[in-house]
Amino acid sequence: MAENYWKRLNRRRFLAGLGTSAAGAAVLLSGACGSSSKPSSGTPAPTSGSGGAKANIPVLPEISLVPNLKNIESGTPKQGGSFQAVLGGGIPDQYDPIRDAGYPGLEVAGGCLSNLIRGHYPILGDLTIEPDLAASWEQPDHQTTVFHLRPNAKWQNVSPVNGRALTADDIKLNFDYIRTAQPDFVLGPMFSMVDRVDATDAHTVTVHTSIPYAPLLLNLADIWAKVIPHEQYAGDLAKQKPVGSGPFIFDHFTNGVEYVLRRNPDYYIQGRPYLDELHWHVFDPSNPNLAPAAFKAKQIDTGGAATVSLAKDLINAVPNANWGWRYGVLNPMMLNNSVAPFTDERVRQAVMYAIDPHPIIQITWQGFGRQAQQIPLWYKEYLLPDSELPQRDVKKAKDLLSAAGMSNLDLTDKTFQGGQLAFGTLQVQQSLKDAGINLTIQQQQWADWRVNVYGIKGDFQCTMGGEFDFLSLDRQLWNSYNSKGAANNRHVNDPVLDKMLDDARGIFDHTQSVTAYKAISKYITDHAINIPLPNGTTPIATQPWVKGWFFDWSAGALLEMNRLDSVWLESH
Amino acid sequence: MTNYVIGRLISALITVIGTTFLVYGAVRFLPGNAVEIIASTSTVGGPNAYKQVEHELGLDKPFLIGYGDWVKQVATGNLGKSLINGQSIARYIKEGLPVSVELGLMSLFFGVVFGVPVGVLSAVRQDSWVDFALRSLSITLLAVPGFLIATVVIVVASKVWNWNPPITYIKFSNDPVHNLGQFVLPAIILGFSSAAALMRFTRTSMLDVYRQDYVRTARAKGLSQRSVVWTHAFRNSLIPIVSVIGVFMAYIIGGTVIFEQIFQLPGVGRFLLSEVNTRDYPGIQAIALIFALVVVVVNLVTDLLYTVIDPRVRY
Repeated sequence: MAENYWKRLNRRRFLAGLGTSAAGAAVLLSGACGSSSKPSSGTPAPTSGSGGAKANIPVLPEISLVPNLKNIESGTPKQGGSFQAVLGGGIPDQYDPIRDAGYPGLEVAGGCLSNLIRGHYPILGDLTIEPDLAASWEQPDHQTTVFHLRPNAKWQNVSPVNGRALTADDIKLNFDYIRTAQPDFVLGPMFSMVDRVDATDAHTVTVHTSIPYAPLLLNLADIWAKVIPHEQYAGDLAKQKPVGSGPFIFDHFTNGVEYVLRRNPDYYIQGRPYLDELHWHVFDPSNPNLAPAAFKAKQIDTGGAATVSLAKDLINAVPNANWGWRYGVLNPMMLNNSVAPFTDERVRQAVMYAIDPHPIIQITWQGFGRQAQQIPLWYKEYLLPDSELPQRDVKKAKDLLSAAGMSNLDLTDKTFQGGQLAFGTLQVQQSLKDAGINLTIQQQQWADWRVNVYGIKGDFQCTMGGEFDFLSLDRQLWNSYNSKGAANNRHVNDPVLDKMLDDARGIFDHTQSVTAYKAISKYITDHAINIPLPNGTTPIATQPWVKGWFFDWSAGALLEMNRLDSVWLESH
Repeated sequence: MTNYVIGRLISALITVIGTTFLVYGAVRFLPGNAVEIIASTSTVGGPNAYKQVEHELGLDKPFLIGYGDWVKQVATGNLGKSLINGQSIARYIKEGLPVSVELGLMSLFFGVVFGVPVGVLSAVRQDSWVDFALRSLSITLLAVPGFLIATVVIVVASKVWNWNPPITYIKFSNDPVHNLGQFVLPAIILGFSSAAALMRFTRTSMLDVYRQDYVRTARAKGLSQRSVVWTHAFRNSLIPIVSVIGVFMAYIIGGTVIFEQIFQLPGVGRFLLSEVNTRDYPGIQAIALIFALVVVVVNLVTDLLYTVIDPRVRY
């Protein structure tokens, strides 16, 4: 299974997932307000950080970095209007999130497909799990979860489902679909512990897991866990057109230019969605000037500036726009733990201590970078204190190398075209020199890099690149660092870490869970299993007349794709 | 004449066959293992993904047999399905080709409309300040890439006027005026380099003709300057220019790929880039073949036009 996961990354998704790369200015929607319901009784409250990043973001003098939430949430929602958004990351490859739709495909499909439950992470609030198709749920024990579906839920009135009722059998079949034993069914590993799904009655689904598995709800609330009708399972149907029960119906598209969704009049939340149409526009990701120009011309309602300098221009042109600056995806230096010299922990630590993060913050991220950790920065509650983070220490790095018998170390970093500038690779190369480490950078064609370096073969010593941040830390860490993890592309095989990760899966108590994941993060850091490089942020603007949400980065920047029904437009 | 046309048709056919060989062979002979790349992302995953992709591409057959099958398939209009999402490639090309053709033809039109008269003017005013200025302009337009000009135009228009080209594509059949309006700017900028090159070719050709005895005779007869230029010199100077226009078509087709990206036009060039990014070889093969066919056809038409432009040419 492990090698299968590696096949799932594509360049578009990767660069877009980077979030901070000028090449991949992904523009996403975010629900800054809306009717945030509390989790149902009995549900472990997955509160994981305040999400309020204002204290951590460098200040541009021209802009208030906290969006005007009061203004965004003010007024009475109005029906109608056509919303224009920039589709991040290029052209949709396909639309089935369960089968690894790339970033743009996920964005489009996000408005059309529903979750069983959905995550919400407001910028100044806590992460919560909300009802979606399931109106409520309870967990009578740690291996059983009962979902009560909305009685009025139905599929969209389009072929092949034609508005039929959405029942518990559909959810049961969807679990089977998710767990299809094929390599492109990317959610399989996160639901492999689902033992049995029972459709107790038309509107009740009971999920039994083979082990106590705390992250089940978070995995279900993530943007990938969509509910797709069984009529779409055959062949590539779900990949070709998103048909579901979401607030919007996929209407038409002009290939590579525009993807248009229209309001689903049968949506199960009364009065939603507010918009009549949602238009996704594709801009050449290699030309970061295009989307800001369209924003200034008021052709698009959200979308933005891929760089700080472009952001400054937009701030002057649209001073009352709302901005999303939250730090998103991880930006690691990935070491292949199973090949020399990184089988020696001292060498890994030497590299970690030799890297100077400041040039990356200043040059790669234009002053807007921030030192990262093993988990996304928006998981504030789980972050280690600064005192437990390694500080640059060239002498220590040299001593470690000397102890390992490698005073002068030659390393090869394999990166893909464009990656050299995007991840701070050159700055890493420069700072390693101080410790006597000579890093040779080999650029490869993207597809070759994916297959041979990041992917199946693992033919590398070290490489750099962005990694998605997921709602569930289990998916984030177990999948990447457990020896059985489907995304163990660092080829880690550490029994101690395996046990820590396995144990964390069964912890339902929130406080204990935080403690466990902090310990895991510290272990990975102390043993230099992975070296996080500074995160950057992409400033994204939303027009002031857009209400009910604004663009924000969180949970892979796609979490709020689940909340398009809350968007409405003020007259302008 | 008939023999010439038949000869050119045979020549074009041979070129097309050679092109199909190249396009088909590219999948097998390009650096890197195309099958492995596709197998890592395609819909035909699973333990047998590699073999499945090989089969999908016809790479599990001997080269000539696979080639023959592919040609047969293409000849019947079946361009295959996307390996990424299973969509028909023909559908995308049917939608995108009119856009690219419209952009290419409008660009060529602007290139000719600007380039040829300016070239004539430059020749007629040889070594004057007008000639100097126009030659400098043409060199500048040749030297600066069109995509850079396009980006600068968009950025400046955005900064100064908060203006941006339309971001929603409008079909000609829905609204001809807005459709043409959408193409004017990219076509003009894409046509800059063609116009500049045509200007220089026209100038050179005109100067060559201008020194011919029959032009001197026309002048000696007391014909007006306009009559000398347009009736006697210009037509004869057109022959090399027409041949160059055919060559420009190939450049313009290449240019549409980038310009469609910049100006949000859903042409096959934009589709090609997407297909290259995802290593969707059926799409790449189909578009490369179509581009090649367009160039072959345009050159064929150009050759045949010689006989129309110059009655002296009788092959």
